[in-house]
Amino acid sequence: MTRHLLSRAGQAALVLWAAFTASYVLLQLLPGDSILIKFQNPELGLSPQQIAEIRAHYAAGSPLADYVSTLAGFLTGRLGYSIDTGAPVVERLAEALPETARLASAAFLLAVLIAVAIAFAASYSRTSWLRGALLSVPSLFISVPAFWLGILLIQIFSFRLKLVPVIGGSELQQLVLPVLTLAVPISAPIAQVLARAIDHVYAQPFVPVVEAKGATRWWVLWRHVARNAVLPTLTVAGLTLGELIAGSVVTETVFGRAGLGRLTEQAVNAQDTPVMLAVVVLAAAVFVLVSLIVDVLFPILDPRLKAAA
Amino acid sequence: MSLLDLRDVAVSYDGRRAVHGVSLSVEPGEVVAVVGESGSGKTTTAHAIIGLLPGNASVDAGTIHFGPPGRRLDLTGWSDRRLRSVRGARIGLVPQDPANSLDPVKTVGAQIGEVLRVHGQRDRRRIRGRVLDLLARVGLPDPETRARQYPHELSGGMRQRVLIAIAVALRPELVIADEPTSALDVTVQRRVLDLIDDLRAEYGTAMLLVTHDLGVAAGRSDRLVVMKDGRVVEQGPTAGVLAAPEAGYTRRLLGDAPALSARPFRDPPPAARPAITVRDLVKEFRVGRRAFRAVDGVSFEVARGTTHALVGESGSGKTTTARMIVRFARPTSGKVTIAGAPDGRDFRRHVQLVHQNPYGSLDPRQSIGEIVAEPLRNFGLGDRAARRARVAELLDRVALPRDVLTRRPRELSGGQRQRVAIARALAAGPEVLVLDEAVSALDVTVQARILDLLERLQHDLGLTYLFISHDLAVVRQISHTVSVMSEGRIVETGTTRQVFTEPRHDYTRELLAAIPERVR
Repeated sequence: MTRHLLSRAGQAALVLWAAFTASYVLLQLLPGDSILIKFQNPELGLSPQQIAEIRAHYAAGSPLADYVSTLAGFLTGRLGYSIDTGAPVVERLAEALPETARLASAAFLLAVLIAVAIAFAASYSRTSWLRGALLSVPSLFISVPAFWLGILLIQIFSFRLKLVPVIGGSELQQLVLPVLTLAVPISAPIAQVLARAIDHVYAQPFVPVVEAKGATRWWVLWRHVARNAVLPTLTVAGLTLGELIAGSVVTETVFGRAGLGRLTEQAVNAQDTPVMLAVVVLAAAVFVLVSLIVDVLFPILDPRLKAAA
Repeated sequence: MSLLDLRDVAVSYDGRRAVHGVSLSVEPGEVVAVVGESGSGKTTTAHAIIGLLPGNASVDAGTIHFGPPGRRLDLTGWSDRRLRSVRGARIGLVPQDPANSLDPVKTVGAQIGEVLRVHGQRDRRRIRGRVLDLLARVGLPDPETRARQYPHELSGGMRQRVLIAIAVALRPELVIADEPTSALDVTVQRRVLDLIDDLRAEYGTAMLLVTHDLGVAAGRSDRLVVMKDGRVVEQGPTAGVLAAPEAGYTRRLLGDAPALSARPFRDPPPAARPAITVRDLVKEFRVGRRAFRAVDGVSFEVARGTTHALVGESGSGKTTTARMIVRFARPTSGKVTIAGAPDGRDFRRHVQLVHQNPYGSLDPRQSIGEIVAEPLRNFGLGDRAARRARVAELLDRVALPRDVLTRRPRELSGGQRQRVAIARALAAGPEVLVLDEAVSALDVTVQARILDLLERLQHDLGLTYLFISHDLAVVRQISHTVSVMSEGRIVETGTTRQVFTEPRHDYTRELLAAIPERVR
């Protein structure tokens, strides 16, 4: 078990390194750069020669040496300086991260709740049209664009019903609409997989055996079917958790929240390479960490995997 | 007054009648066996009693009464909610398939304790004590450890014991046993059936035993109910029905059951040359760092034109041996010689394999004509017209009508599919057929026809068969010579007559003792 865990951790480190390298190379290959974007404005009156001097000031030397020093910096926690604002990247991340963490974790919890509610209601309902209707909800959710949903929610709840103030309001009030916007699309795949897994488990021969013990429908669903259906769902839930960071770009922009998504959006507009690199590596780290957790959880939830691990 | 009374019970699936007016009764403490082939409605009838039919099924007519006088219940039309007080507490269920009938993510102890908890027992210590008692009572050693284990850590026989413990935990008046031992090896089957008998005697429980196995029904029941196509064709005391069956169908069923009809032995022809020679065959698999010997020094010969049976229980290594003989697996050491078989791809023209599962071994997207012609196309035998003629000839040989040519496997019955598989195996004109549990998945009447067909084909075409089976009754009927396998080794080899009448090895004796009495 510990050996398995160690090898998984090693794999995770490898994935992180590959993500770092790939995004570093891609960002270097981008046409144009942040220095041009920042200093080419004619009003600044800088000559091409002066721009070249500024460039020399930022660049450290050969591309390989550059890569090695950046990698060393990442390993020791020095992520460099934002070209756009000059602030250390670590500071900008530290400002943005808590906002996004709050948004993302709340949205993930809500998404799981929505998914479980849909899947349970669908499998519990005996009327086939209701079941069909419930099962088509995830397809609807997944096809709703986040920016549109965000604007729609603001329109309805802030402008029409005036339930949530557009500006100001308590921390909780500010969180409600963005969380909803982010949660709805990611609840869809979780709900779909969970509903299918529940159907699959219901077809297993052990279900009638539990029923023959005199168990109620709820007992069967909660204690046996759901417990078995969690396994495939966990994998998908892990994947969507990683997607939250991508989702927060749109949501935070629409709701004007200062978070990781907003930071990404600004960094891309300004071609602020150090910030972009840090964001990509952070996202990769979240992905890797979550799948590591899922891996560890699996044998705990399904004893059959203990022998295999 | 009887404990259970079914009167004219009818069940439909999606509006289509599957059970037409079944009437039967079970007296207190009595064992009633419901026998019939697949699709006869026996399981549907049994499940209707406790309302465990699938969602698309409904009981449309008839009455179901249950309970001793004074506490008599009319279960007909009871809601799920009301039936729950009866399920588990007054009627227990032993299901068919021990491999998948326990929740894989819960411990064995939790699943036995569950039936007590469902019916209101709250005291954890008392539940635990009762669970350990039950595990010991159903004959599982070291109950403390067993209770903490998960189903996948137990063997099939042990799991079925756990399921029996669940069924009898609350001492119900009736146990419905739905093919309780069909998935188990014969020796295990016998011990599990003995356990059920003991518990019944101890608790005075009545049993409705649903089975396709007439041997099991004959040995274990007081009364017999024979079902066919959703109707009861005959019922009466077991001994009476077996001795003097009234319905034509019952007579056919008894005649076809290999376990009940003692046919003469097939003695091998004298001094035939060997077609298959197996010498010191070994197959090792690596399990982690350790090597596991699935086949451990197996040697035997099969004379040309005869049938040699390889019998053994699951895990004995018989299928691995068969796979090495047809060259689907490479032996770790040892040698298989098949007289006259060329090397390379043409080996398959000489040696063919027929699988157990007639549902999985045919490509569902091909027509029967395409399936049977495939070996001919692969080996480039004949032109289009010649191939068509050959396919027609093969269908005649296996007694399938010509109109199946354009049909798909799913439109055929299990027996018809196995005939298709045999026709395909014969297409390239092989001399050796390896039949791996080829009739095990079939109903007895179908099984009897396929065995007749195999015998006729052997006679007409001079085929040599290697017949892999766990079913001694079938082996007795078809084979000339037998090798008995256990834990990768052959423990006994001889003519069928010798092995069945004068077994020398203890394991052979145990196997023979486990099959129902008539044959012995």
